[in-house]
Amino acid sequence: MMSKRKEKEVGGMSAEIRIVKVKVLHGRAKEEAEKLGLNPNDLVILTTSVNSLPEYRVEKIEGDPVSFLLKRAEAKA
Amino acid sequence: MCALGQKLDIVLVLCHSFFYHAFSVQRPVDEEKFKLWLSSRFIANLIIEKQAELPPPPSFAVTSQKVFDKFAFDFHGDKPSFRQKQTVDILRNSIFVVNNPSINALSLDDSVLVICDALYSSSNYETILISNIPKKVQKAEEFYRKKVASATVPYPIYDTIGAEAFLRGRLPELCKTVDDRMKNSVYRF
Repeated sequence: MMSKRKEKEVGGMSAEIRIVKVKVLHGRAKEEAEKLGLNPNDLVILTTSVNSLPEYRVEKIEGDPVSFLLKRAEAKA
Repeated sequence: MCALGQKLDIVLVLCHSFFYHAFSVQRPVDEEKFKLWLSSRFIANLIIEKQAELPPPPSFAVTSQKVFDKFAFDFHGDKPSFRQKQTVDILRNSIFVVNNPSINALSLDDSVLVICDALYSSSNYETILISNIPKKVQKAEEFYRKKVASATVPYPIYDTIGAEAFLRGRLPELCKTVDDRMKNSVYRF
């Protein structure tokens, strides 16, 4: 999970957020997923923050994505 | 199906009722509404799952800007939290949202009908309109008959229960993956 501070930083920058499967990740985004020990078929929320060199943040989706997103949206930011 | 018997890529055109059911937090008590809610949730998960393997931009599910904006407002109101806004942004990146001034000027119903017609008439996609409003078929017929009295709707219109059955036949592997994720979900709504 991202910290409150990190979320605000991302919110302030040009960030793109999407759901992708680990197996389609490459480069540094893939390295982030590998650090978390994820499987190729795991779904993740990939946040790409563009601040000169892009930063990639990977958050694993537990269970089905819609339920996960709804639960995540309920959490206080 | 195209002339050579090769199956076309499916594109789902989403009406507001799909979003309303799929992202409703409350599990309906009424049995009929529960079936629509569950099938909408299944299709939303299927869309996300399929798009997660494809390069951007999204091409499996489409809606109009007007429909998506209404969904977003219904979802988070006029003071969205950071996480609610992120959720909407994530979904926007799994669905192709058509932002065209001419289409934006239309009603919710007409905006998706125009998108369906454009996809059906000028692309290689198998277009399917998804709506849980029973009157949608009648509205679509009226839409076409404004121009030609004998016109019929050229693409299928399914509710989410019908669409789920269709998609299970066409995308069995992907549907199995979605079933497994839904079965193993740690979050229950």
